[in-house]
Order: sequence, then structure tokens, then C-alpha cells
Amino acid sequence: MRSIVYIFILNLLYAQGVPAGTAIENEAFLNYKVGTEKFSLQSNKIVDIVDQKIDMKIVCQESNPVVVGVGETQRAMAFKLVNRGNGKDSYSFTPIFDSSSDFEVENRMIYQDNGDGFFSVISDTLVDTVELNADENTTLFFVSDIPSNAIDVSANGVKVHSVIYKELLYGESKKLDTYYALMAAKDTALSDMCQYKVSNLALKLEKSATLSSDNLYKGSTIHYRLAVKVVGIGNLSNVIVEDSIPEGTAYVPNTLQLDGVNNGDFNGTAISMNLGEIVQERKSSDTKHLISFDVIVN
Amino acid sequence: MKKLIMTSALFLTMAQANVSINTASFQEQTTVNASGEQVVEWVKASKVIPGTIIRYVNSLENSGSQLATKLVVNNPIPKNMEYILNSATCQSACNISYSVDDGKTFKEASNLFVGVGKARHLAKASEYTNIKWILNSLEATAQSAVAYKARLK
Repeated sequence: MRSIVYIFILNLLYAQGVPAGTAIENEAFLNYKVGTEKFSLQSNKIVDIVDQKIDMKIVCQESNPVVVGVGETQRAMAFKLVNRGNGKDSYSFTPIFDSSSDFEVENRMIYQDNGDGFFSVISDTLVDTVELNADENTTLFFVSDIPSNAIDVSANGVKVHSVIYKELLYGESKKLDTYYALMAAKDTALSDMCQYKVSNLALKLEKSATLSSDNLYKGSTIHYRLAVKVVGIGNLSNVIVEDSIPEGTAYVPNTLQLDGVNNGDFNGTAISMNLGEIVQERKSSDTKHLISFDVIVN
Repeated sequence: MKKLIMTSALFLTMAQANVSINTASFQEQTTVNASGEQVVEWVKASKVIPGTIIRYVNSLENSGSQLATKLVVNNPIPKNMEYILNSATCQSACNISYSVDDGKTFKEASNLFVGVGKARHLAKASEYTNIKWILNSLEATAQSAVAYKARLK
């Protein structure tokens, strides 16, 4: 069987490219003479319709292994998915696992970020598929539970499939209505992995909220408390806690406190509290620090 | 009599002028032959995605009985395509020049400038708008061709 490969020169300068379905027209004009007589004519018009390039890439966004504690739940690792094609595409996902890892995680799920870059089971969306326009990207979170027998390192990630063109291999094409779809994504771009690293020492945050009224109304105040605890024994340094204020609320100035004393910063969208070094000399579930702040419902 | 001859001569001239121009598009295709060797050939363009290089060929044919002279082919570079520098060719001897102002003026590539003052620079491929080929002549019943390559943005 003859194998046919169309040569694709994928120019990295053109992240998006001309949209699929665009008509490219070429036409030439001729002038000439016979004796002293002049003639002018034009050629036929050749029209090529731009096909759809199916191309996507997913990349782990964690520059270091994500440190986790044994027994922790819903620990997230971030990935960036980009549609490098020239048309809209839908993607489905398969969690993947490196079987040479030291432990296997549980309850693997994929969430789509709401845009703030932080994982939250409340504000982010559990997804089966994601649709992206050409050159659009999104952040996904691989979320899982760390088992009680976890040790050392576990590599996990996401494999991406084009929902519309899932059966196409690299270089293959499929006829659509007026043009073709060509698979230009190589296997190496379709999946990536991040790593969890178990630490016997980990920071744990417990968040709670109380309302100024029985129900939530415009103008109600929500009082947030972040209890900072340490799992394990050891010293944690350069500890900074950040928390975005919920959409639909506004931070109440001068309410951010650390252990009952005004402290910390608010940057317009999130509070930030520098805790410096935290020392845990013995196993304890006591709260080491309490961060609190108020927001008002818009 | 003289008038009759002149009329006949005019009719004869008009009947002999017949140069046609036909444009076609091609893209590279690699196949593996029976010996397992890769063979690269240009085939009719059919799978065109951003980054694809297309070779446009304008075929000329003089189906008349007289010599055609001073043949000038002007090919506007299609929208969304970028000319590939130094890719314009001709089958027979010709002069090739380029435009950056939609065909108002043409110059050789080495003399094709854009901008004024400090911004003046030798035209980049992305700034080319037209290509012109000038062939001195095309014999009766003869064929020739001019071509160029461009990349889909």
C-alpha cells in the first residue's frame, strides 16, 4: 500500500493561520503583441479552499513536583491546553498515569479553570469535553486523592483527544462538507504529565465562612476564616497564603487579620498573608495561625 | 482592390492571435515506491492548511500561426498567501520583477524598497503584492510556463 504524506511546513510564526473554509484565489493577467496589435486576457481563476488543521498541545504548568500529604483529597496539578489549529475543535480527556511511579492516586478527575489560575472545586468546572476556537487556550486541573500508602513520587497527567476527528492519526485527513480536516498533532503533543511528591510535612488550610444574616442578600457580610495547620513534623519556610475573593463580592477594607491583628495585603482580587516560617516540633492538629477577612455581597 | 486586400490582411491578423494562459496550483506530496524509497512530487493542490507551500504555474500556449512578442504575465499574489523569495521561475528566458504597491510599479528584487526615511528597507516576502514575468516571444504552436511558490499564512 502506498503511503502518502503531505508535507506540512508548520511555521511557528503563524499561531492561528488562515481559518478553515477560506477561499484562496489565484488569477494571472497576460498582455502580448502580434505584430503591432496588442492583446490582453486573463487566466482562469483557481480556487483552493483552506482545510482545517487539527493541532493541539497540552503542557504541564507545574515547574516543580506538587508537594502533597498522605491522605489529602482533591489535590490539583495544572495543565495548559491550546488549540493550535485553524478551526474550532472539541476535546475530551483521559487521565494517564506512569506505572513506574511509587504510588497510584485515586479518584482522578479533570476540571477546567474559571480563569483565576487557582483550583477550586466550587468555582472550577468538572469537564468531560472542552471546546476551543483556533488559537484559544484553557487551563485544566488534574485532580486526585492521595492514598494513605503514598510514598515518594507519582507521575500523572492528561491525554487529549479531538472529539470531532478522534480516529485520525498524524498526517491523515477526513473529508468534511467543503474541505478536509488534517491531523497535524503528533503523539508527543497530545499528552503530558506532572508529578506529585509526597512530603511528610505539609501545610493544610481549612476555610470556613459565617454570614451576617440568616440568608445571603445584597449587602450581607461574609466573614471568612482560614485555619492554617501543619501536617507532619518539621519547619516550613517562606509560607504565603493567598485567597481570591468570590465573584459577586467586594473585600471590606481593613478586615484582613492574622491571629486577630490587622495584617496582610489585598491586591484587588485576592488577599495575601506572609506567614514566614512555621515550626512544627511534634505532631499536632492544632491551628498554627488564623487568617480572617470580610467581604460584602454586591 | 487595395481596400479588399487591407480587409483581408486584417482578417488574417486577427485569426492568428491566440495565446492562452491557464493557471493551476500544486503542492508537494511524498510517496513511498515499491523499492521503499521516498519520492517527492508536485501534485494538484488538495490538502491546504496554514503553512502549506503552493506552487502556482501559469501555462502559456500560442495556438496561432504567428509569433507572439512582449508577453507580460502579471500575477497578483493571492490574499492570505506569502510569496516565497526567489521562487519565481520561467521555462524560457524571461525577466522577472516584483511589486509592493499592488502592481502600480515593478522592480527587481534587489531594488525593491518599502518605506521612507529610517523606515526604508528592502521589501520582505510578506510585502510583495505582484510578480511580473516578461518573455520576449513565444513561437507559433509553442508553449511555455511561468511559476512561483507561496505559503499559506
